[in-house]
Amino acid sequence: MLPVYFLLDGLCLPTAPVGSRTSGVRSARLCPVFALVFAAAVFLQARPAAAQFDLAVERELLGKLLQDGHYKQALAESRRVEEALVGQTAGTPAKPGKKGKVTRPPAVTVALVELLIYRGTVERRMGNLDAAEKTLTEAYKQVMDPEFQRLIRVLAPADKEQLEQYLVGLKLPLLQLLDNGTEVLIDRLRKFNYECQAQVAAGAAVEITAEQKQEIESLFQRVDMLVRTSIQERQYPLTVSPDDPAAGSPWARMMLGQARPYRLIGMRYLEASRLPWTVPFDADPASKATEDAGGSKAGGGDKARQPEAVVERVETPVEREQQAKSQRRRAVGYLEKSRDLARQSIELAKSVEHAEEKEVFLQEEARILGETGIPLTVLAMFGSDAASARKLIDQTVEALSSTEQSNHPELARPLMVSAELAMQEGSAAYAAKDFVTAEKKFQQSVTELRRAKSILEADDSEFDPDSPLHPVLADLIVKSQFQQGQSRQGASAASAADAAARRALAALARSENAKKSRTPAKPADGKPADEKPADAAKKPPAPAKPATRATAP
Amino acid sequence: MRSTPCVGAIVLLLVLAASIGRAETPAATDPAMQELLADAETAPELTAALQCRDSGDDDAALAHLRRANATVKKKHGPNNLQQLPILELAGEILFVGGRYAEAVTPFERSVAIREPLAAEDNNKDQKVALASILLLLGKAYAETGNAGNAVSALTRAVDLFTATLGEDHEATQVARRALATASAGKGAG
Repeated sequence: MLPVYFLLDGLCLPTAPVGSRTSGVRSARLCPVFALVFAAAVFLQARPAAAQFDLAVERELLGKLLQDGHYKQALAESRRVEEALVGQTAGTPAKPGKKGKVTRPPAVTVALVELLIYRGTVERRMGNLDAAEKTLTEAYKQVMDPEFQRLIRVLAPADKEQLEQYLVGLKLPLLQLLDNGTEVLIDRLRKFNYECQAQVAAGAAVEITAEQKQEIESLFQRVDMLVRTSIQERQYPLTVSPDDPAAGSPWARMMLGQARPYRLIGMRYLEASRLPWTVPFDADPASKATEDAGGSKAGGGDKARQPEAVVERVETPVEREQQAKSQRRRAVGYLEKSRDLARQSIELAKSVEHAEEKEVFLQEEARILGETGIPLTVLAMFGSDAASARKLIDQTVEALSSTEQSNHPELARPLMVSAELAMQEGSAAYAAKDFVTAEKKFQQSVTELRRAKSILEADDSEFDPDSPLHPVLADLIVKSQFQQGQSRQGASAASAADAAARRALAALARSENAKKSRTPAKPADGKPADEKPADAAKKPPAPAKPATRATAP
Repeated sequence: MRSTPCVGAIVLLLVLAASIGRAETPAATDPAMQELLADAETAPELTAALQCRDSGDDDAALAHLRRANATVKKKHGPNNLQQLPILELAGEILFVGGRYAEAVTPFERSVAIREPLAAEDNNKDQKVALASILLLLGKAYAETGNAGNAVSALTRAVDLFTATLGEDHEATQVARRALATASAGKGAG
């Protein structure tokens, strides 16, 4: 049996941020959070945390808000519950703890940690990575608080079965914290890669300072370390009781499996493959974790976190591409393994669970498959395997649509990936002169992008209005529309020459239409409006006439 | 499902956007256009110009085209094929925007570059492309009161369209009507 203090002492989280989040959908399930509080309260015989509010009701409310994508309200409500929890224990006299220090029952601390994880999740999903990191770091501090750790050791039940449930109850939020922390770091890496690509798309050379490089590599090291810890923590199997509300829940069973860390490793390799350089220590974190778990204490010690010795040399583009391909292969491998593990967990769980829980397991399965489906689709697109990519993303969208509200912000991403793919498919069809298919594909892309845009910009979605995603989406819609127009024109053109002529005709028609809309109604005095001094309809002179000047001989 | 929506997706979207432009754009049969869109330096300016044009910001679109043109001229020298998509797009924007006098210059430059290509036998695509620009140029001349040049450009457009696409093609008929109008204007003038 793994003692709980060992479990927590082994948690070597990064000094700075520990992020965490349950994957969007998972976090909506936050169920173990409060279920855990109740369970722990029973086991620890702690003072009940709820005097002025009912945690079960709050739990339902918070879960629903996240599930519906009402992020701002979710933040406000979670803060309210946090304050209530803290307020209730503010006057608790120090027990055997340090003099003058308020001692909180561990069950309350666990509840607070779970609330912080919840809040961090919401902040991350709103695109506010800094806030998410800060919140999750606070959760980490709470977990690592010496008094909390002392109390959970003291209060550990002697009974073997009860101890196991007690450990599971503590392990679940710990795993959530690890997973969510990794997700935040991966989001940061993704953001960095996006910025690099944006520079390339804008025609600028990507310039990365040594400091930036160091920072990015540090992020990767932290991801690797978190994932290793997460894998190790899951390698100590606990027998979960079907009667325990937290440990026996479908969510808990899924959480204790290795599907999530493997998914995170896959995503980590996907981001690594997009970097302009190869991270020097890019070793397989899963292998390292296995080695560490076999040979040293949990957490692997400092040695395991050291990057491998690297001789600085300039990487050629060919070498980089080879490395990127290798990283993408690994990404695919881990993501597929994650899917297999999720399916296995579900199958095992199904055999022991009550019939009414079957639906919950199926939803969990859909979520895991959806979460892995998106990066796998992107990877298939990188490999120009449009057929596989289409199959994957269609399955993903279908799976997620079956488990989410129709306008949930988390549905935006698979829609965007599907739209990207449709653009790729449309381009291929256009190149093959299959204009009808091309037009359909670009139409699909426009429709999906518009839907993603409406989801993200819905009044109640609360997605960060300053996110760089908004202009990118708008830009993509324009490009898709343009391509669709081209395809339509191509479809009606018997040949390339015909298409050129039709383009000129289209310009003439647009010119005529514009002319009509510019022509002001004839005023009562019979003079055209543009003969009047204060002519509102008159087009102002072009300020620069840039193209004309630029192209003039 | 997860994630701050889409940062991951965006990366790919941007890459894709470039590759899509590479596949086809206006005057898609132009190797010059394909080359231009395959160029990391000019593709962003061109796609940005299209976006601005579609959102109605002609001046911004023209500014992007000016930058793209400067890049192309720097790389390939003046009067090169790679300029054609830029010149023609600029001309179209100005023409549709009613800035006919300004549209004349890029169209004239385009015609000057296209003439030698269209002169080659069996180069139907180039002949039609030239005729298309001549049609727009002729209309721009007509709109600015230059009936003589209008008739001249439109006559060539009609001849080229007739020879390549046939008498019944819509482009031929439109060019013929434009020529008739310009000729009437010239007569009246």
